[in-house]
Amino acid sequence: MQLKHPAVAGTLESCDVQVTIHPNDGMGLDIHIESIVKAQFGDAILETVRDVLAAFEVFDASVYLVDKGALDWVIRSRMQAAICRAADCSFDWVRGGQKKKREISVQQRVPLKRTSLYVSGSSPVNMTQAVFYNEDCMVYDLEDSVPISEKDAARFLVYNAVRDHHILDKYVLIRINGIYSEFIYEDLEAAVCACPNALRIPKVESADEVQRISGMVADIERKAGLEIGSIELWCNIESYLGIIHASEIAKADPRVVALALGAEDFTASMKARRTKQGLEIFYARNAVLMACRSAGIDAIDAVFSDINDLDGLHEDVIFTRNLGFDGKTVVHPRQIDVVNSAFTPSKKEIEYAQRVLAAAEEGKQLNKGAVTLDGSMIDKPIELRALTTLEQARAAGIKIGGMNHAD
Amino acid sequence: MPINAVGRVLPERVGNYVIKPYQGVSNENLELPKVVSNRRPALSPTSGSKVVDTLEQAILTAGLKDGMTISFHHSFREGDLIVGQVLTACRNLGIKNLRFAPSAVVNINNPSIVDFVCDGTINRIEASGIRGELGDAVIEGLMDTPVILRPHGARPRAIEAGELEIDVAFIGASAADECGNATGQIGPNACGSLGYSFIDATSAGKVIVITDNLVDYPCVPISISQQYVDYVVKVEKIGIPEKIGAGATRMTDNPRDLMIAKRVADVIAASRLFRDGFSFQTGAGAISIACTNYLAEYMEKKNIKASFALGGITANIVDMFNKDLVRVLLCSQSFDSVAARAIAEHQNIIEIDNAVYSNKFSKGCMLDKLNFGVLPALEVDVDFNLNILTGSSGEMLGGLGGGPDVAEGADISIVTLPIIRGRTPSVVKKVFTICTPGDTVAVVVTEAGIALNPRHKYYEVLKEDLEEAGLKTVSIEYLCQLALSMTGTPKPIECTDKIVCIVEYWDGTVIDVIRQVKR
Repeated sequence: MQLKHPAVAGTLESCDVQVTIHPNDGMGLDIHIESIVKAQFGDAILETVRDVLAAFEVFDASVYLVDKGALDWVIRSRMQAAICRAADCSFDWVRGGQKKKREISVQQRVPLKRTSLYVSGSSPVNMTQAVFYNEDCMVYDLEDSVPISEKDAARFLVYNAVRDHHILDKYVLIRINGIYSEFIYEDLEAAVCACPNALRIPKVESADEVQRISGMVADIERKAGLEIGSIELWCNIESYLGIIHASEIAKADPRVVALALGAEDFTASMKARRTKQGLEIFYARNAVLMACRSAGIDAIDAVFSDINDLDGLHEDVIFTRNLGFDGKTVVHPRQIDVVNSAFTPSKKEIEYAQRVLAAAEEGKQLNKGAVTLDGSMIDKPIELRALTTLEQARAAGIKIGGMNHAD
Repeated sequence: MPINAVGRVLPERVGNYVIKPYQGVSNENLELPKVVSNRRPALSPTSGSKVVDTLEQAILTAGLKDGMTISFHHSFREGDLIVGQVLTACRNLGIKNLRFAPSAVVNINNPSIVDFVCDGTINRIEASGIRGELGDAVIEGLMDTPVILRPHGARPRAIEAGELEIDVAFIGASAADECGNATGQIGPNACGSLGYSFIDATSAGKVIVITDNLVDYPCVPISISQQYVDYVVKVEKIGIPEKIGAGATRMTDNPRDLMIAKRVADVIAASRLFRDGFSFQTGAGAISIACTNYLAEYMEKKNIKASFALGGITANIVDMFNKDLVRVLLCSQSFDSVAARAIAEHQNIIEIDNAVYSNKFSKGCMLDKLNFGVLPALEVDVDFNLNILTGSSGEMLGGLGGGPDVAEGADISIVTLPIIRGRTPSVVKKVFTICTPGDTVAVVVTEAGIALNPRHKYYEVLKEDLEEAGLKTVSIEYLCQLALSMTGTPKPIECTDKIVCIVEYWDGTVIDVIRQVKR
């Protein structure tokens, strides 16, 4: 690949690396590394740099790295972004993606969705740390938290993070840019090839949009040799139009597993004022909930914006839980524990869940088609709900006596 | 060459220093020789005043000569202005080859201690830590004689064993009278407890009190008594109290550190030792300070009160005292200006001698009454050994402080650290410098999980208590492997054969040495 002009990627922040690359026509490779961990990792950094250059078939370049303790996947991402910028080209995500596939682990039978934490795709330090917090779902963001000039670099960071920095067993999402934005195609390619559990689509307003996205995802899955339909979709509902069409959106495609309310944009579209009490989103919350319940998918509540008001958050999330939501989007790690604990089931709920599962199990053993408990039918959603309850209890550190269904 | 009980290969001697290898935590077969003191009697001056006009004059009159030993406290931490003034005076007087033996060297740059080593004023150093520029220079081979690093509890022992005889002790005090009664608790530049200076006052050949606040006789409270003091010098300024809190004692809003701090409080609250009348030492450092706040929340929620908090005291522990959550604060050091002033304001916040805090070679040290000790570390290895001195590329990043003493003394010692810092793994197979033996570490708390030490005496009960509370644990090997999977395996630090630091344990045995790092 021919480099056309000098380019820079990355910053001088902690856990990041700044890569400056210049064309070096006919003069081979000239690599300078400055690093706070040079004594321990200088050779490893050099190997990564050479590896990325070779993958792009760049044979003539001057490369300067100023490393502030970046992990390998960050160095790789910054190198890839710098090369693409210098060569005015885009990355072949499909080809790059075929080398190694991320295995989506299924430790939990029912993945919990109590908390989904947004992590900016332009912050290596936040991305490095976020895997360790107690959030159930981690949402790498390519949209609002990434400045326009960094969209390309964020794609590399998110792509490599999802593939190489997937440390703990978490449900991983990527929020792509809007359906009508100029970034959507490349975002989808990068995001699908990274193999997250799901994509989170901002500002969905109609079933047709979901179906189009689903079709595009399928095309990429096919090209990349991934299992078709393996990537799930979460639709952000954040306008009055989205609320009006919530029910159709929830049922638009089998990939859709959750709707998430976005209150800030929704209230803006309504000309409403956002308050802590949240009466202005009361209808929207219920509309999303009913859409989700009728489609048998999960409902995720809106962000509580004041990250310093944990008491307010607690009140808000208790209300949310009582309405029936399955989880809540959070924007700061300190919100996680408050939200998770609100979704801790009561002893009574746990006992009921255990009885549901016991009855269902008995039904299976006896080959009964329909199972009843206390005179009510137990269908699939009720069974799933019971499993979720036990999983929530387990996540809250509650020991579950008797039969242990989800183990 | 002998191998000590934590597996370190040590030479038999380094220069004149004969190495006694660390034998393990057992206290059997300890020799208890007679206490040695360098203190000389004097005739009480009938006219009263001991005030001398200048530092130079005091140093000359005290008879400080080439090759002698001088001592200081580090209670002003990075706000200290005394060490620089005294060493400059020694240099001006042409005194050479001093042994510099403060309780710790904190990061003071103006002037730098390195300069006094380079110009020959100092040629030996013994302290609990040598933070900052000096530490890095030492590791790169600045000194011919290795620096002896001792935890707080070991310094009084070494002094009373005659291994560290102090010729002249310089004691900075924020208030003093003309006869030498002195304290750090009052005055415009209060630093709080003078805990480290008690042993210097009673053991040094000559004692010089340095103050910027000469008060009417008698100075009250009397921390350092006039019977031990030879001279009093008034200088313009002894320290900057606002800078006491710099360096080791900072607040954090880093969510990772907060999560670790919360988990520590979870562990404490889950333990059966968390009950009315329990005791704790949380110390300084970002995670520790946050942890103190979470602990206070648990205490309020469960209506549990502590009997005492020990060691270095911070503003938020004073806050707990004011909320009646802790009955007594035992301060061997004050970590910020709020804690510094609190001693004079409250009867149950008291200044304690560092020796009664931590010296196990005594008829009873308070650490042995401690239930929970929270400790930071730079590295921990799969044997739970701690490194609290050196960073991953062999730079000097911390001091021993009372870390090894607290780990040994507390029933349950809890170590806090993130598994990686930048690209540097901190849960490793072997730490670069062993400062605290793994057998004394009960719990390691990280952002990636809680690990219990199966070899610790409280392992079984802790395991039971944590399970009961629903706190998940992981193995230390898992944390190590996880850290390495993120960072890759670092190349080992290359060292020469030259030993630049000797790390003593509280009993005077050598737990490790630091060799000169190849650059």
